[in-house]
Amino acid sequence: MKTLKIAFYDFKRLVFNPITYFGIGIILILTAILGIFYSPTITPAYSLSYESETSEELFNNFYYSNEADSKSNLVAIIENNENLIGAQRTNEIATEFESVKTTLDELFREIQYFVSYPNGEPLYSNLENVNRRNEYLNFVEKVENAEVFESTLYFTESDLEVLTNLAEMLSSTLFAASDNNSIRTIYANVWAQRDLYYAFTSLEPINYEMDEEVLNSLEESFVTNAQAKLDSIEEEFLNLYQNNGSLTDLESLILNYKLVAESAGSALNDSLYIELIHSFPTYANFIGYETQEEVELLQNLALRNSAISSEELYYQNHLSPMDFNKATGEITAYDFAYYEMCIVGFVLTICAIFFVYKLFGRDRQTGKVDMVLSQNVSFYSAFGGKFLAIVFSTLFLLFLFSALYLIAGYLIYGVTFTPILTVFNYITTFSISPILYLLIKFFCIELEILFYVIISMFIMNLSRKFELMFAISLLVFGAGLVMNIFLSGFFVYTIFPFVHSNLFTFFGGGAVNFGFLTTKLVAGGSFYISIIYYLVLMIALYNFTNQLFKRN
Amino acid sequence: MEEKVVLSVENLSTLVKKKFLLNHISFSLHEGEILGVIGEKGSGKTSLIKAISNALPVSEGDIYLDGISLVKNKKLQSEINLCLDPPMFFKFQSVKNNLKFMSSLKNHYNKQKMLSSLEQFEMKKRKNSKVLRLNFYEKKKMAIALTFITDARVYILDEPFKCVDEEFSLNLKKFLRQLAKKGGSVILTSESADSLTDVCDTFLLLANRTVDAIMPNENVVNFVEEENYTFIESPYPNYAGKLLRDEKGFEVKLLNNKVLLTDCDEEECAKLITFLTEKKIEVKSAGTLTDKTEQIFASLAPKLPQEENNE
Repeated sequence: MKTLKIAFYDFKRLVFNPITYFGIGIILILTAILGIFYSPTITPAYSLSYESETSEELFNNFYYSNEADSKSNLVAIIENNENLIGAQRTNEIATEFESVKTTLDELFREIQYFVSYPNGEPLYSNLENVNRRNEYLNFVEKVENAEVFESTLYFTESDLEVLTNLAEMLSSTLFAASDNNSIRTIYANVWAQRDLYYAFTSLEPINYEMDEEVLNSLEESFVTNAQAKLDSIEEEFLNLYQNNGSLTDLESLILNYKLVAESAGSALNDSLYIELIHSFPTYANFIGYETQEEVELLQNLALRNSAISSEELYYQNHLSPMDFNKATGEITAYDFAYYEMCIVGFVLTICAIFFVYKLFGRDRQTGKVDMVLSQNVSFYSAFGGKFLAIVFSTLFLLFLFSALYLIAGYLIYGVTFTPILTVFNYITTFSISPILYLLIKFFCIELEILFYVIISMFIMNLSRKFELMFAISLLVFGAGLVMNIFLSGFFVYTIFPFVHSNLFTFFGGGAVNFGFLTTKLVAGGSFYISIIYYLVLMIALYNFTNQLFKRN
Repeated sequence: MEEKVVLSVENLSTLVKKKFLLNHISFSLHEGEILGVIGEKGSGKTSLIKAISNALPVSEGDIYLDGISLVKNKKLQSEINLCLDPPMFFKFQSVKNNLKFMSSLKNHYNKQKMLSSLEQFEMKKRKNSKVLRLNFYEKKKMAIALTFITDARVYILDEPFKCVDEEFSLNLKKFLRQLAKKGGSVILTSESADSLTDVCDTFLLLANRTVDAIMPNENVVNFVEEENYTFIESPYPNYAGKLLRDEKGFEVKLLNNKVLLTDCDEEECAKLITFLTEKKIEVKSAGTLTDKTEQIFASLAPKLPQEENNE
């Protein structure tokens, strides 16, 4: 009870005083200026490339043009998926590699025989030799130019070097000879560089044949189901077109046709990469394969799967890889509020550190803590009350600003209620109301603020040189920002789940702003374990700081 | 009949960052007694009253209120009201809000009592003023008013007569005597005994964060200086004292940063200052002790002991 009394009293002191009013004024002016110079933009990822003025134009563009959102191009993506899965099944390059090995084996056995018995006659004609050489050169060219996942044979960069060295040697030596003498010379030249052939024979590229069940499942998801979804959207489109449906609805259907097709294309690629990552952790050595973060693949896959498997036919552009503006295709009050709040989150963190300095530094320095303690208040109540006061103050200010920006956003951009597609983890996506989504984001901003509050409380109680401790706390916050910008991955997200600068998000790095969810995805562990770990860490630091508060 | 002991401090020590803020202090406070705690700056007066009222942790010893340990029964702290110096309040809040908050922490806030306490200490007219607009004297009165809003067994006031006018001082003393008559026990602190002799029954003399002496009021009032002390204040009193003792043959006592000498006239004192300066020992001030409190402490201070000769 005393803790709460202290909390509310200090809350009033922190929030309702001229310095805070001045700070609020500054934040409002700052964000207003930023709002003028920076307005949230629509991400053009899933907008139509062709803007039609009539339904007929749209129809013609879809069926007869060669634009990015024409039917032929979009269906080609699904066909490409089919071809990729086919390539995984037939494994042509692997077969070809065996054939090339046999051919070169025959050739080099002949050369060896010829070199060993100088009076012998060549078994093969010049033409046959040239064909053998060409067969090999074609194979090397295929390996070099093969698209990712077109083959099940995985060569590394050093493998490719061996292949190309031999190809160069054969190109420069094994040409069409005119008489036996010159064949003798050619064979002698080839034989002199036989080490290149031996290096070739020792090649052991990985032949990874994917499980048939996996391939069937991929085919079903990204070929059969995707095509069925496309067919139903097309059917709906034709139906609407014949019944003079609105241009907006028709455009939405085409947009979703594009969304499904492109999602299927990317999703198959992502799925194959995930399989590859699981089988060969060092796959980055394979030629043509880019290093991919599994977490990003899983996150994107979840969204793309959702777009393909949903049975709804959308009349609204309906995709949001965790951003409002991608969800609705237009700027809304939520975009405005969220982007402005990113700045506020940053400024409020600095304010919160100042609050810590005021309650845990200045109050001790001036004897106010002693005054409270002398009123039959325990150290624990005084400490807890002050901590709660900071929690209440930051929450209050955060929600005050949210409300202000929502109202301002509503007046400037208006508001829509299109649900936001949200990734909870890589098997669960769901649509939630944008206001709830905004609340979750604000909750994350508050947790991030509290992370720095607890760290600053700890620092503030290390010494009675409070001004110095305040400066160190600000430096730690600065270091957190730098770390967020320059470091990423398992360590940072696991150890510091809330070190995600919202300022950074504001300037465009929006991928890592979801706290625990990102931690879960990156760390690959349990969401709940991640929360428990974080809470235990914070409670331990809180308790330790409490002891320091009493001792100092 | 012997008076009942209300507060008993036994062997109390407070150790913060390996430094004794209080070093094995023991004393008792009786029902209806007014105890004056006197000592120089840094002698441990404020630390003592903070430890009694829970604002400093107790490292060793115990404090008993009516025979019950305060260290083990924190709830009993509500029976001790403390007024700290300097008075610290939340400056953007009104006098009323500050007092309401502080007294509500004790769990029995009473508006009528708050108003009557403010009236008693001449602050009722300023109850709605922000603390920001009060001068030090008014804040002092406000802190004293806060101490008497709630009833308690023991009232502790840190430097209550510092920076207040004569009239208020007399009123407060009258009020305290009435309180003591009704059975209230009071502890007052001050750097000088002079301001407390007409109100305290007993004095506790603190020096170097421990008890130097406990003496009844009559002993302090009737204290007659037996020796005439000359002092030389230096940042290195030990070294200066040893030099004066060993090289000049004086009998030396130390009181905080002062070297005390007996039978030393002005002319001789001037020579000693020149002597110390030649030895590169800084001298901050010099003169004769005139303050009664200092004279009492001087009479209690031990002589600087002769060092044992190793040969």
